[in-house]
Amino acid sequence: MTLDSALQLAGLGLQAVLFALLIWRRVYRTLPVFFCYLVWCLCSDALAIVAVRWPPEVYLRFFLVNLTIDDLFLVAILIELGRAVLRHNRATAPGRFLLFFLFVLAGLLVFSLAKWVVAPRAPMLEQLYMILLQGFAILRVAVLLTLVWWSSLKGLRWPNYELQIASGLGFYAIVALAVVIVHTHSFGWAQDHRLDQIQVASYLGVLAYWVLYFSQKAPEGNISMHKRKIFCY
Amino acid sequence: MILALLQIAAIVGVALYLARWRKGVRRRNEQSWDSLLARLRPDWSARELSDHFLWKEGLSATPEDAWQRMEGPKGLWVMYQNARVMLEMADYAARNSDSADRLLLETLRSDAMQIRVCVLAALAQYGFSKASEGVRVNAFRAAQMYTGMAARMTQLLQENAAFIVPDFVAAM
Repeated sequence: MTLDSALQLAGLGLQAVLFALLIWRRVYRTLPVFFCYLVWCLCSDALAIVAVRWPPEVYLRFFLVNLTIDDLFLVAILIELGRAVLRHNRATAPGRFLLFFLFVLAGLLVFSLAKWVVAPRAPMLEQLYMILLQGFAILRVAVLLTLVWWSSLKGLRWPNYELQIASGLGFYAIVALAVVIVHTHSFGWAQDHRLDQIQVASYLGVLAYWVLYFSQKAPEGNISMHKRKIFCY
Repeated sequence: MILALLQIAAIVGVALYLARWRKGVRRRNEQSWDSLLARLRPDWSARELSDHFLWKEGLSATPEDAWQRMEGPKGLWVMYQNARVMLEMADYAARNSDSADRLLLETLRSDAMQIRVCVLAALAQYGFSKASEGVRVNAFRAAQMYTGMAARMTQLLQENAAFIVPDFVAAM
């Protein structure tokens, strides 16, 4: 068994355990997009085991569609977390101007950190691959920073489940951005592939962290918790 | 190679910032009412500026008097920190009471943000031009909002947990 297939199988196993835990904890009620994302990951990763035997061009198309849906899901999860934070704080929806301003600021900051590179002579599909890879890596971190800045400015509290999910996504988004940046410097195929493996390993680490967290007793301060009636000393 | 290292260093900086933010949020989730009270700065009180502090909005001092009584940047910084703590107190109240007034909470959030922006503007001006008229006017505005926020905070506590008001009044 190669390291790649071992990582793939470990990912499927961890996702299956997390899927069961989310049902057990009834997280699908409060965070339906996150739950749907996990279902999507299970299906797409299972299909990817078969897809590696397809012709390279067909596999690349499959991979691009997979990448796009995956990253759109991640952005949708971050928005869902923002809504959960609003509900938890009984706060009103934020002003669109403030959110737009913070997003533009975060986007500019992250974009200035990245080195945007697309080889002009590469085949169209490979160009598209590079654009999507870099674009989504920047978008993920920019949306995450917007969420963090906005909740800090408004002084909002985070429920525990949502904070753990955001922490995991944040860690993965930062590792993915670092990997994309190193990719753009092109140190050679062997190193590039090793970097991809590091990125997958970081995703497995996040899954393991979530599994560990959701397998513990439900923490205080979650949306599903009953409210205490008076202030407690 | 150097560019790559610089970029990675910047990403590590972003990661450290996010880790620090996470630590702050976790600390905030675990704090008690007592720890919140203990975080209020006792070394300066806005009672110096208003006879009805904590009960009514408004100042009983001119901008020049207010600047003297708030001991310049010291009072401004206390207001900056206490506004944040009062916001967390309001949040604590909302979390532990089903009847907390949503509009009042939103007003407190808005107060805290405005006070902090106003204080930072006044301190930045003070850094460049010491106690100029602009600094005094900004400080006066911040103090006015601060007394308003403190009065609203007292109202929120009275409505939701009146027995806690004496401790709050003593700490402020």
